[in-house]
Amino acid sequence: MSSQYASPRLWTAFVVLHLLVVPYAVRADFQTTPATVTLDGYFARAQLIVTQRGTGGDVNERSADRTHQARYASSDPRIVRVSDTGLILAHANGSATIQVSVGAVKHAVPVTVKGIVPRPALGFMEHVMPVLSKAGCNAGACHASQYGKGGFKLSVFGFAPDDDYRAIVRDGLSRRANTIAPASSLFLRKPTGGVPHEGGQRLEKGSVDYQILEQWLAGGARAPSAKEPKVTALRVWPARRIGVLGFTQQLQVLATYDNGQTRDVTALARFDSMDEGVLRVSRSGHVTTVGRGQGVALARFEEQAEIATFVVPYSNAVDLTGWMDNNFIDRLAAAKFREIGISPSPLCDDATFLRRVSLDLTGTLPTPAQTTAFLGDKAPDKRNQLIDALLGLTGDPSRDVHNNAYAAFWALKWADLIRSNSATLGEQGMWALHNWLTGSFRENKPVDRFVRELIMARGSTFSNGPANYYRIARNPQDLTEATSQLFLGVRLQCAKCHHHPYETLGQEDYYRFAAFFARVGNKGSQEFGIFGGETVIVARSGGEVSHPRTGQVMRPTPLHGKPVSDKRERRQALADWLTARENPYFARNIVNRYMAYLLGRGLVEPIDDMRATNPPSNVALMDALAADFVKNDYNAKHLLRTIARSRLYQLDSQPTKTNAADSRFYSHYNVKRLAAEPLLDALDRVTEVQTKFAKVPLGTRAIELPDARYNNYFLNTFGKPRREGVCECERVSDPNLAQALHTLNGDLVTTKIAGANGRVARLLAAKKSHDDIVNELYLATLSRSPNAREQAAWRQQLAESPNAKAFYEDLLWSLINSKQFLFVR
Amino acid sequence: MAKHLLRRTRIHFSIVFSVSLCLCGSMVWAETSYPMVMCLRPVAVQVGQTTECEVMARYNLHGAYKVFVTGDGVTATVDAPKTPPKAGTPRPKVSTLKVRFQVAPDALLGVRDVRIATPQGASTLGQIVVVRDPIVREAANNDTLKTAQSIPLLATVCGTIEKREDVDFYKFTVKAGAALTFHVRCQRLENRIHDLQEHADPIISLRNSVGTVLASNDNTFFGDPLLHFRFAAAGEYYLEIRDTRYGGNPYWQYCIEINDRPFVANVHPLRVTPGRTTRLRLLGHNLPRDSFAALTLPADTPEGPRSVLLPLGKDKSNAVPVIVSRLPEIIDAEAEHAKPAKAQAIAIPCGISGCIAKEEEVDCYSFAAKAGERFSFAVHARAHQSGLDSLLRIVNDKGQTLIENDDARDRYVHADSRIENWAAPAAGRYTIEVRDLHARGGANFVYFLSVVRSEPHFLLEIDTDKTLLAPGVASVIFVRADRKNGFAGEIQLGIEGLPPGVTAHCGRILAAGKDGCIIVQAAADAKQTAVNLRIFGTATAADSKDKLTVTARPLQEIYMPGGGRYHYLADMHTLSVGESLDLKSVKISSTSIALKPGESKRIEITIERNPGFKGNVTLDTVYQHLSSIYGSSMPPGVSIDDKASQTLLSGEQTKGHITLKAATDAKPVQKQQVPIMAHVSINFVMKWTYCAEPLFITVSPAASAK
Repeated sequence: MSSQYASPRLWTAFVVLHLLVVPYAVRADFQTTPATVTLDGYFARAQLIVTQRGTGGDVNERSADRTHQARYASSDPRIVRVSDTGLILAHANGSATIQVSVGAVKHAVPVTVKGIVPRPALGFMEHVMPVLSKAGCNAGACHASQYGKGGFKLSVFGFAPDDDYRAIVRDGLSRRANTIAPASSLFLRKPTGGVPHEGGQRLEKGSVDYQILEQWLAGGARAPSAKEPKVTALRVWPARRIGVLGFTQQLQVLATYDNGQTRDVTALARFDSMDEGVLRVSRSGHVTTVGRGQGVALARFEEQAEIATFVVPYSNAVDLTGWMDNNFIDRLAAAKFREIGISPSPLCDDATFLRRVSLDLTGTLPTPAQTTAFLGDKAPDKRNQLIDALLGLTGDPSRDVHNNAYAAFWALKWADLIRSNSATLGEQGMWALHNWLTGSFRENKPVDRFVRELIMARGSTFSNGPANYYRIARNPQDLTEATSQLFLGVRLQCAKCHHHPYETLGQEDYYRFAAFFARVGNKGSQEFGIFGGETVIVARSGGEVSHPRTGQVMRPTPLHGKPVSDKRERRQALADWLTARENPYFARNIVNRYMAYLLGRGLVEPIDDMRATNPPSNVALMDALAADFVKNDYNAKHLLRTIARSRLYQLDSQPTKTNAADSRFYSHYNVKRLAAEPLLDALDRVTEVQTKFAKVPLGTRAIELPDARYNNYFLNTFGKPRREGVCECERVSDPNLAQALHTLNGDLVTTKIAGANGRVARLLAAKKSHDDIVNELYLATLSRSPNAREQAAWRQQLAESPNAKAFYEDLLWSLINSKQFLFVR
Repeated sequence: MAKHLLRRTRIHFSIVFSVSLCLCGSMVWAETSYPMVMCLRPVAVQVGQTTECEVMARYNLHGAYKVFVTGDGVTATVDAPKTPPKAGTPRPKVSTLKVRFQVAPDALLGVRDVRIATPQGASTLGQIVVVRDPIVREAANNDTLKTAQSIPLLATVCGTIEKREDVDFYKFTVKAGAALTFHVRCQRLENRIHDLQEHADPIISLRNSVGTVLASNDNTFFGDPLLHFRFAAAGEYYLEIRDTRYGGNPYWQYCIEINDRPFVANVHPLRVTPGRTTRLRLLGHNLPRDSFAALTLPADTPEGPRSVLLPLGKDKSNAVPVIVSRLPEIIDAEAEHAKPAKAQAIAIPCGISGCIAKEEEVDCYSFAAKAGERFSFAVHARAHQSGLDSLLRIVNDKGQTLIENDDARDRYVHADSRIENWAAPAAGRYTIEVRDLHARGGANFVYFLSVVRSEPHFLLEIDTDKTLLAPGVASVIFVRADRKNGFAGEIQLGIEGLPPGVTAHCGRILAAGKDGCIIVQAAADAKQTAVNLRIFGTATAADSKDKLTVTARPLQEIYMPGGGRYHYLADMHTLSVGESLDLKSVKISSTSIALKPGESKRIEITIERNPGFKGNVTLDTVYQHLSSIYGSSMPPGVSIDDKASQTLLSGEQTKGHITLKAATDAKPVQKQQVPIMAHVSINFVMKWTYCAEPLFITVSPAASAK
């Protein structure tokens, strides 16, 4: 055997990349990346990127891409060839030069080719799989669908290479692969259109990709081997670009392998636009910006994914007149406004702020008395004082009167996420969990301790509320998915069956994480008497999770981490890692959720889909918030106070002409429909007619309800979640026709307004003046007084109305059905 | 197989039939029933005082004439009925009875069982709490903050979570810095209530003057809360109590002891040796750091768990659980002994007092054993307010676990661990590991570990806790043996404390059986009375000449949701002689039969009904419910031949018969006492059991084949 065949490494095409470009003389007006190229092996390719230099000779994120305008010529096409778009292809061993020309300026890129052998033995995973992935053969819509296509089934994104190899080479009586006459293989004839193919032409006959497959067949169709190098990281260059609408950019994708080598895989990578409104990206990785804003191009290769961010500012002129930084949030938000070219709206007025912050922090509408007091307060820091009072941080019991509502409101949010539900937990378990949640928020338990108590929960499900976490999700798989999504913001569900399409996480990662829960068990108990029937969550001394495909026992391993030892209870190690200050996910996940709760949108959306390929809209702000949260010991009230005190939070919801198109960068407050429970409570408070819920005494507010399901049409119509999933999306926040009809025509609102002991009846019985009544109705519903125009209009309406009681009921009905009431603005 | 199917069909039929009976109403139920206590209100009585309580019961308390209270220092009286019944007319229905409890100043604090004797028989058990502070009864309307009931401190607040969604509010005033303990007893008082099919799960909360919740507790002592709170500011505060689930029931009574005295929840060591002074570290609330108390119990104090009042200066503590033991005493060493290699050496027998003081702690004790030596190990912790949910392991010198136990299981599931009659597989050193199942730890994770050589012995239980007679009527007391450590002997039953006019025939528990019976008979002229009995068993272990005498523990019947029958251990077995019942007598044609293997014999049975009683009567020799057998002294291999028996007597029927059949492989037995019972259903689960005079069954040896 010749030395050329001795090791795959020798013929594999590698590119030695000199990313630190040797500075050219200042006179040069563009830069090529890489400056020199080494192609190792047959089919080795490399993408040149040509970037225009600035007048000072610098290259930065605003530098224009000239890759597709440049002209390329090879000094020796027998050794290396180059395409019109700067893609270099190895042809024969030797050295040559690629001359790059932009206008009159020319640069030479030295190229060395080595490792070319007559009959290369190509590896299945290293060579064949990328071609299949690039062509989309193993996509879920094609042969990786549940039953495959046309009898040919591949694994999703090639997560099961052995199965794929069998499907190609062995299945169907080996009719797909012909190693003697590769060109006659169905495996090549189908995608090239040689025979009818439902998926159309996916490969061009004679193309490099075609040749790779043909050569692999000709070389005997080697099976997957564990020795083939695996990709450990992907890098996209440039990672970030800013420019005017319409600018373009060719991307270059570099893969680093576990043997330490780096290879240009641009030609084999798959590209997608994650923001179609901002950019489009071609199959070859050429990005074209098509809209203003911030967008991401995604590159995928083997089991890795990476992004490049593109910014197209809305405007060159940003008006930040009067902008004052209340805290670091504002400083970083302003920087983003400047970058993205958006001018923020002005501050909202006090009445709007009072209503907004009361509902956002406590789920509770302020009373007319509270509103009057706040609006009349002349203290310059009254907003900060209000925030502290709502959060119970004044230290004065007579002012910290919102603690019950705060605890109830945030317990409700987390009960939704954790899925507290009597249908699953029984009444006592559900109440135990609810009481623990409420107690946790009442004492402002640090979030890391809160999560640790859940993860480490053990003992009685009746006495130890968080133990019910292990009754809601009852097996390692469910616990894995719930835990990662809730506390890391990572959706691992995909990786249960195949590699995550937009993440670096695969099945191994999923089941290694699941191994943390392999030893959670339970036992019965009679401590609550023979009728009690409590369950006790225990840590068993044995129990493992196996990989469903390989059967291999998986060692408990954090995401992107190293296996942990079994010396201590496995969940202890998980809790330690999860809540570690250096955990990249934990704090970000929490601050992102809380940003979304208050500002109507997370820095990352969806808010529980945190991954490298779904970056925050404001990376610096996310980093700073997370760091501040960690620094302040995961103090949720501190986080809420920081956000609520920011100018960003206090901006008007009314967009300006210049920021109306923005929905990502908080240039104006995002209007939110009141959630079901706060809205029903608001109705109760406004009408002074309390709703009675099943199994709790009259006076219990909707935000205090512990269970998932109530026979309450209003709550159900307005989207109270059933707590069946850990996704934030289970709570439907969009308004719909049924909701509108219910508040407009439903009995509930009408009955409450006309209640014999309701607000309108009380005001009339007290013989209040018209202005006083109207004022109180406005204060109760909209947290503001009516303006002169409104007062005058209502006076006229009253004069025309034959029945004062009916008039005031109609007035209240109108206010309740106004957007100002139904929405947090 | 056919026999199997037949039995299954019978079970199925019995369920269907029973349900049908339920649905058909009360026409087939007994005309008379003993009273079933549901609760006492208030549920607490103060030491040194007389407190009047209401006993609430199902069925009839009319004519109640005696009250039994367990323990010393508490007596109770009832007034004679104001309206004595007229001859020949039914007694008036009385479901609530006023009882005056006189509590001695030095009475032991804590829970007592209460039973009422009536002409209808002795009642089921209720419970009452002896407390130190004055009783404050719940006012009529205290369901909102606005209508909260003002209470003085210190106090024992007694109330009822009487209806669904009931919330009771109390308000009180404290000085700044006051530290109060709120100790609730509610759910724990319901375990022995015979017919309370849903139990309370109370939760308490403290609110400040504007209603903000300051603290809350749901479960500390199992389902009951304990809250300790230091009030930073003087002022008015609210105490709220409700069922966690907002459930309610007129019988859900609670008492909340509110005081600023020390509250001792645990002591370390948990064990106390009678006749010696033990220095106990005190754990709880309102205790100075490093609190200790010295306790000396009389030398004749019986072994086992008990509650004690510890001396605290001039005062005494609340009732604190300790284990009284005479085993050689060992204290958990201060030095590290978490690994078998560093195990603390012990000699057997011994009683170890330990504490799993911190998370993931393991206590190891090592001992030497010869091959085949047998030992028993028992942890006492969780049942005595310890935080420890123990896991007990025996490990060999290679670190291999030979046996482990988390929860001991017998009639109940215990959180405490127990390994019985373990045999050392080889000579060598072994290690006992004690840890918390959940790897938790803390100062209150105290335990007592008894380590003894396994000796054959037995325990006895009586099903049930009361025997109800009328003049001329007989009944049966079943006693079940739990044989320990290979004990296989016969147990002769005995009884003490019978009242005049009542005689007993004490049977035996065969070596091959687990149940025996005592048949008690009231003379025709027996007077109305009620007494507590001692029932015991005597036996001789096979390899010992020592006689073992064991007092049987009564079991209170519990009526389970869905119609099941369960038990709670009780502290007294009461026999009552009351008024005439539904049946006047049960007579049998023969009091002695001899059966050869494979042979059957018929016994004629005649019942005498009281005039007007036409309910169903079921004849049986085995005490059973829904196919479970709770008492059977029948010799092994002897059974009722259903096809040749008439056991259901309906309407006015008075004659039936039972055919007893000896299996072909029935073992020989001499004169085993068996009851012929006549059951009259009180409800779906409960029945009144009458009995004929004893039947003695002899099974002769099988004739040898020639």
